[in-house]
Amino acid sequence: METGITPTVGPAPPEEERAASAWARLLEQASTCTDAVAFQALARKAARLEKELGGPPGHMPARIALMGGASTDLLVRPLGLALRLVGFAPELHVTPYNVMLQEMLEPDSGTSRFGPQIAIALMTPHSLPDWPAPGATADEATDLARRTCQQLYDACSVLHERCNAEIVLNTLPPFPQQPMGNLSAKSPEDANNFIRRVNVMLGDLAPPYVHMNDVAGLVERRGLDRWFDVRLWHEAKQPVAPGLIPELVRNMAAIVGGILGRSRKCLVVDLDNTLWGGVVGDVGVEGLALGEGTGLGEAFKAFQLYLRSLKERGVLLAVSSKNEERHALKPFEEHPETVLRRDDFVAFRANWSPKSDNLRAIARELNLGLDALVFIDDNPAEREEVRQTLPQVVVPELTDDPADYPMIVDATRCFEVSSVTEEDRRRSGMYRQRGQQHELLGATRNLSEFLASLEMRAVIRPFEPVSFARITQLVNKTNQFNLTTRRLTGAQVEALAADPKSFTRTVRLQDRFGDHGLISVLFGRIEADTLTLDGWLMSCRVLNRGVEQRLLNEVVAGMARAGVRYLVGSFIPTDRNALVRDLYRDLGFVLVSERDGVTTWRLDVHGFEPLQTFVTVRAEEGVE
Amino acid sequence: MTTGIDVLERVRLVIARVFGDDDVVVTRSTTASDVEGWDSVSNIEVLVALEREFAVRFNTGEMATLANVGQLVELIEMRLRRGED
Repeated sequence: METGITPTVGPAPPEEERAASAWARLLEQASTCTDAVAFQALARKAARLEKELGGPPGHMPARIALMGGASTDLLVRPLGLALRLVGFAPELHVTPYNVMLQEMLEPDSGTSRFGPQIAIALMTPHSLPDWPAPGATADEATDLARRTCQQLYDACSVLHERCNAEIVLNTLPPFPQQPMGNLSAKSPEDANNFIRRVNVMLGDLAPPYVHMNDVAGLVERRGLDRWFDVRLWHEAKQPVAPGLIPELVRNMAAIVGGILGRSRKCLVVDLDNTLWGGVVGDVGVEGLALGEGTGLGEAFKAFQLYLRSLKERGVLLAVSSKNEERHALKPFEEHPETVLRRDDFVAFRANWSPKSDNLRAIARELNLGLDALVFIDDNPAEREEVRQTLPQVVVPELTDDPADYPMIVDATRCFEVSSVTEEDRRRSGMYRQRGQQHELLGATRNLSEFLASLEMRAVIRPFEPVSFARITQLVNKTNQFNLTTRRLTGAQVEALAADPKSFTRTVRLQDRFGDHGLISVLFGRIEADTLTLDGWLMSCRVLNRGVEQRLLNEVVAGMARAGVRYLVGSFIPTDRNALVRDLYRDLGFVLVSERDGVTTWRLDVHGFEPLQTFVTVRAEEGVE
Repeated sequence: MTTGIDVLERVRLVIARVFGDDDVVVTRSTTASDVEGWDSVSNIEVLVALEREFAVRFNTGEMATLANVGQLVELIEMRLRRGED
């Protein structure tokens, strides 16, 4: 800091500092708060704090509309707090009671004018417009359920097309009364029987921009008596009793996080007394509680099965265990009832270092931020060490019964996603290949030889319908190799693909270890002689491979053919993307302006020398 | 069931918890409009929190008939006596 070039960073103004520390305290309290009254009180406090001092620093803005089929007054403040807890700075718009369809359909409704990124509806069974006639058959009831959902989705599509809004609907809880008694289960005319049909149909017919808040599932877990207080319905049209409001709003916030790319990516687990009962170094593989035969063994096996389900839908699993590595590996190799194998983990750290060190190393190894990790350990001291050292990591409090573990991980709602793509299902395998490449790198004399030995082949294509879901996902969750961090909804991706003025590219990459899938996205627009790049991002799985060089070579060649002279791109700094601060310079762009840390760069197509890269383009699938 | 502190003080503590104000002043003549934030919506929170604190149940519409905290305390005491029968 001895030169005059770097501006000296002074202490933050006292006002800001006061806000930051007050928010940090409040959010910490709220994050572990399970009591409904206390959560409401904290939500009130948060609203006051926001009014007096503004929001906490570093939160991502989110415009959210809350549309109620009943009164949502009691939800507003808690929802604001729950959104804060997952890192959003919410701007909330609340519609009046029971005007959901009008709000979506009318071009100058409050919701339409507000223009939400995400509109969350809370529907109740009371708001269903039609019910099956007495004596209705199953087919008639199913048909009515379909028409009911279709009508709802027609309204959703109007709002979506007008505002580009993603929409969150909910499955419906049943009514508490059961006039047909047990006959309800086989009577299509019965209201609760019909509600079940509607719930199935809601899921089956949902377009990609409609996301499900599974209220019916929440009610099944917690009980209808806790969810619905009929007195509060009669008195004040309260759709949900105050006791379950914290869980409901946290669920909504997690869904928002999933849509906007804030869900977590990796679950790090301890081994002894977390994946099996007992300490393997002490009792040996034979002495462990794992598998059929004892209740405790079955509980650990059930947790392993649960973890495997997470892995299969795209959550990365990793191990951090205080153990000798040879002990730690043994149960995976030798225990007859282990569900998980060494191969199921993308990182495996068995040593005596502090867990926080290992979590840092795992994040680094996988190119993830610490805020992508969740940590599970039966030992309260280890949990505390990680919480204190790495507050970005989610560390759920465990009970001392492993039978509870799956539900405890569920309840964090950290792994909410709005869709599961083919890439998700194969993610673990791809990360493992990276591990093998690290080993290969060690055995190879220099980087060029290493890259050449990978035999990388890229397929570069414009945005295409088959890739829309993956493009949307990648755009919204990539933080490090991301020049502008512009997020796009599914609708915006489709709009870009359809717009003749826009320029879009995706890159799929294969190498000798396997298929990495779609790993890079670029989008911009062509005006006169200039292609302006509005966004360029790449999965960190394929950093330092020469993919960006190959993509630029292809883009420049295409532009030269099309008579476009310049490429212009900006770097917009965030707290996560320092990795690409100098990317444009390194690729040969010239700096044209700089303001508030945002740098803008230009490349002249004339005289551009293709950059060296070991990625080949599969010619038969290239563009044009 | 003896509690050590009287019903009024326990009501005050519930209101303090709901509104996040430990020093809230609540007497028998206090009405909802005397407490910042106590409106028809937050009244639902107060009601549910009181039910939990005293393990009692109010009937539909019952709380809306009460004029002040004094009447609320009487209603709760009546419920508690009934529970002792």
